[in-house]
Amino acid sequence: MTEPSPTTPLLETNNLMVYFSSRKKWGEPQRFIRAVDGVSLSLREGETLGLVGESGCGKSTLARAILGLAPVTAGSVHYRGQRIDQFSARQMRPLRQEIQMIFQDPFASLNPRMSVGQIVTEPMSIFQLYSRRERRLEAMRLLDLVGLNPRYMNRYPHEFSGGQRQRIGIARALAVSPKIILCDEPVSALDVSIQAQVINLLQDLQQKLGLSYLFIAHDLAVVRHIADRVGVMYLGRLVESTDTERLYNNPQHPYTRALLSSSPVPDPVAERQRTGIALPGEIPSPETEFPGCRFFDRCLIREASCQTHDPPLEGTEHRVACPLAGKEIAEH
Amino acid sequence: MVRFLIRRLLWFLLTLWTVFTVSFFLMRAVPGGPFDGDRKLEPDVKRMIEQRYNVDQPKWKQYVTHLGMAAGVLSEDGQWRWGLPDLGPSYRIRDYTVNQIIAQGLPISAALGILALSFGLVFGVTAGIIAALNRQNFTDTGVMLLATVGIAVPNFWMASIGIILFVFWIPLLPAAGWGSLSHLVLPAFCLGAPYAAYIARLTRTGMLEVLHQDYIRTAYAKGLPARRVIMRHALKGALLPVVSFLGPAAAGILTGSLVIEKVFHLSGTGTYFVEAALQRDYPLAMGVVLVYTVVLYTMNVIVDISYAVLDPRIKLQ
Amino acid sequence: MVETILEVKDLSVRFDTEEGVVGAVDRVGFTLMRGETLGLVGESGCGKSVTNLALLGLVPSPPGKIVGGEALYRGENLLEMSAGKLSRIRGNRIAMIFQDPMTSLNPFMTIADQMTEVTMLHLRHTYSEAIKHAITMLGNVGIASPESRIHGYPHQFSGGMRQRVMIAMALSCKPEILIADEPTTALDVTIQAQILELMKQLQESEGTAIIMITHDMGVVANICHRVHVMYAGRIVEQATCEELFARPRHPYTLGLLDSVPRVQKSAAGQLLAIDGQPPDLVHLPVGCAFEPRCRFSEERCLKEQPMLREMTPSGRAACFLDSLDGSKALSKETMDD
Repeated sequence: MTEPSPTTPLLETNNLMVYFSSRKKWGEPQRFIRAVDGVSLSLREGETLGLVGESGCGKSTLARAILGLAPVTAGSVHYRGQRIDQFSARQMRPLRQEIQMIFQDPFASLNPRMSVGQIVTEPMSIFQLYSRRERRLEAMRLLDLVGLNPRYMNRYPHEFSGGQRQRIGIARALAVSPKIILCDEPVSALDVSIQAQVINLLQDLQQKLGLSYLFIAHDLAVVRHIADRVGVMYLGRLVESTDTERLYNNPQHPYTRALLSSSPVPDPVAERQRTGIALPGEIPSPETEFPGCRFFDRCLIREASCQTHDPPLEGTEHRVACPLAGKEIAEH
Repeated sequence: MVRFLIRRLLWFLLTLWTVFTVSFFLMRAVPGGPFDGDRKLEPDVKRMIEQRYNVDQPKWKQYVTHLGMAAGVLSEDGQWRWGLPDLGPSYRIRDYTVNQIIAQGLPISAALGILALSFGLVFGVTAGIIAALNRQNFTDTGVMLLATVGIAVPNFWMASIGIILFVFWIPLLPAAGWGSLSHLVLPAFCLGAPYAAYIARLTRTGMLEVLHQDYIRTAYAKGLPARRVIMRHALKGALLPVVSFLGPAAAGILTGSLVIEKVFHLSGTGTYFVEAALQRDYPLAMGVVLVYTVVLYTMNVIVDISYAVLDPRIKLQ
Repeated sequence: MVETILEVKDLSVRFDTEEGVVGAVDRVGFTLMRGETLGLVGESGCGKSVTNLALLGLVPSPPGKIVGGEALYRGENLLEMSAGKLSRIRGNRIAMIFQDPMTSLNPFMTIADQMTEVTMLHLRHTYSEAIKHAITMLGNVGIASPESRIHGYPHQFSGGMRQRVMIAMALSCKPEILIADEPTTALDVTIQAQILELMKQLQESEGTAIIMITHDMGVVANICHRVHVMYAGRIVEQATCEELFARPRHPYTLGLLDSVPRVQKSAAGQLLAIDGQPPDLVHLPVGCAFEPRCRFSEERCLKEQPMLREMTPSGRAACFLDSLDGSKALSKETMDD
């Protein structure tokens, strides 16, 4: 096993693939749902890596595969230089203390029959952290940390609003002092005014505790605000990945460009002047097989060769999976 | 669809064979035999009777013969033949074969069952819809109270009350027997009442759930009158739970009810169900079990098909 | 020139719940002009959906109850109309589309059956007329090969396509008013852009007035001409779209605009979030409902409920302050930290 060097990323995936076999029809070859199809990314200590894409692009499956909750078909996952994708459930256990997850729907992910105190202390008792007495104190400290009154220890999830529930979810994730939190659409179910509170909280906590986030979202504005680096996914592939500023100021991949120009901006003047690249068509089924680029059908800058040539993700600082990246989009 | 039916048919044969085998050996595993009556028979007489019914042969040989006969490929004396299933002679009801007994009783039980089930469906679904639409007011409470009573009251009691009311006080219907449709009205009502009650509850629950769906709101927003929203948009979804209940319910009701048949002096198959088992009439008991299996299995296939017809999202596998 | 087609005055809706009486909609009034898009903005529970359901008599009752107000459409009060008369307007003159296209279409019926019943009912179409009309409508909303797809079931369509079907169905009687309740919230960004574009095109060609209910300020900026902001069951600000974004007059509007991250702006520290929790509609304060979360709150706000008042010729806000001084807002924010 290699000794982790300071440059080793905290978390890394190499050409990660997660395929699910779809139901086989008699007399037809077995098909696969390529949920994640060869994704390489890395998360460094203390940074936030944003992952954006529309439904079905595989961003949530990727997070689950990292935690060993989805089967890895090929490729690898490394944590501090150590390969973890082939770990057994028992080997994975200590890692669950290092990598925690928060979810989109804060109500569905909290047990309605457990009090807030029980919810937050449960992970501590699973990993046998602290004495029984200390656990309660620690839970109260965490509630205070996430901006909830520690007196709420004995209340139940249904007594809280959506934003407060997400705070409870965050407190539960923090209970085992993780290094990484995988955030799966943590604010998309929340009201606008509450969204901002939770984003601020996550940023605060990152500064105070030196956390690393893999922040999965479909909202490009939220990702721009919180992420240091961003990866854009389409149908299981990473199509573009670079620093946040570079990505938003100089998007290269035609899909990234379309995503950015499709997301409405709260400014009527800008909205009216906008020459929107309305992306035609719909996201194809992940069962579809593509001999070439999987964005071909919807692409506005495609050439004939794209249909047969599957573009690799190229570049060092700014990785793009498109040989025509940056090409002028013809008015249509 | 064709593949679905073929698959189901294969499973059906396997199920029948399993049921046959298990019942065959279980029945014979119980101590005592069909001819061990209260009165001791002369050993010679007993041997002769046993010989007549092939009970003296080893179990496996009996099994092969009976299975062959039931499958329609063997005759009683072990000769090859090709024909309808033959369940053999009854041990207890002399001079009758099991086939004859079932052929006589099943039409009565089935006619009674179909009538009872139709009654249960019509009343149950209507009452369920009415209750759901009047949720939590007097009508709803009344209908549901009646439904609870319908489930709770034993049907022999309901039968007695029915006879007192409609035969003696208001002489509308015959008290018992078989012959015309009017003979079936009272027994069908008594047999169907608990089913009606249960179907009413299922319909009400299903309806209430569907009425909360977004697409019902859409239907109202389209300007459709309430009656149309209920009948066209809500009913299909609300009936799904009823349909899945109908499978086992129909099998139970079609194969006859001991109590109702006794009370109204109907010679359906329900009576034999219990008696055959008690008297160790192996062939008759086996016949009744097989008939029940066939009806239950067929009903379940029909339920699956109706599900697919009702809900386009369901594909027959 | 601009003709009012819908005028809502003092509409109030209450819900009787186990926790108490919820004043879901409290004295809401607005007017809708022919061919315009009016935005109704607010967060969950602010009453924006209930307001519109009430107009069409679709508030579930019990527990809901319209306790006051009127809604004049062509001089007639929708709230007092007989059920029969109202259902002749629903889906015909005033149509509605909903948030979740996955659940808003009936999964048990073909698209053809669901679409034809509308025009057969309101326009007295025969089935063959209706099906022809429905195919044309599906073509208009951008569904490829509508002749064959119309006989499919909703589950055979994607989310975006279902919303197109909903729009086609809603517009099939050429309604004067289309109420769109968060029509793009459940859709992906690129599909949302397609649907908004489609709604704008259809409005242009059909002249339909749209009430756009949304929580997304980006969607408002994209499609609305005028905007009403709702908070705790009341309208707190009315303005033209440009005005609202350039110079919000109510602290809540300002807060909403500040708290959204911008896709075209780089992150500069923290977002200016609105503190506190959404209002508890059972126990609303005596004074301004937004006071507990307001950075500008004064003594007076605790005791008195501010009424909507004219701020500019085209804008009204329910706030005692005449203007929201930017510097004051910021200083209050830093003070709180």
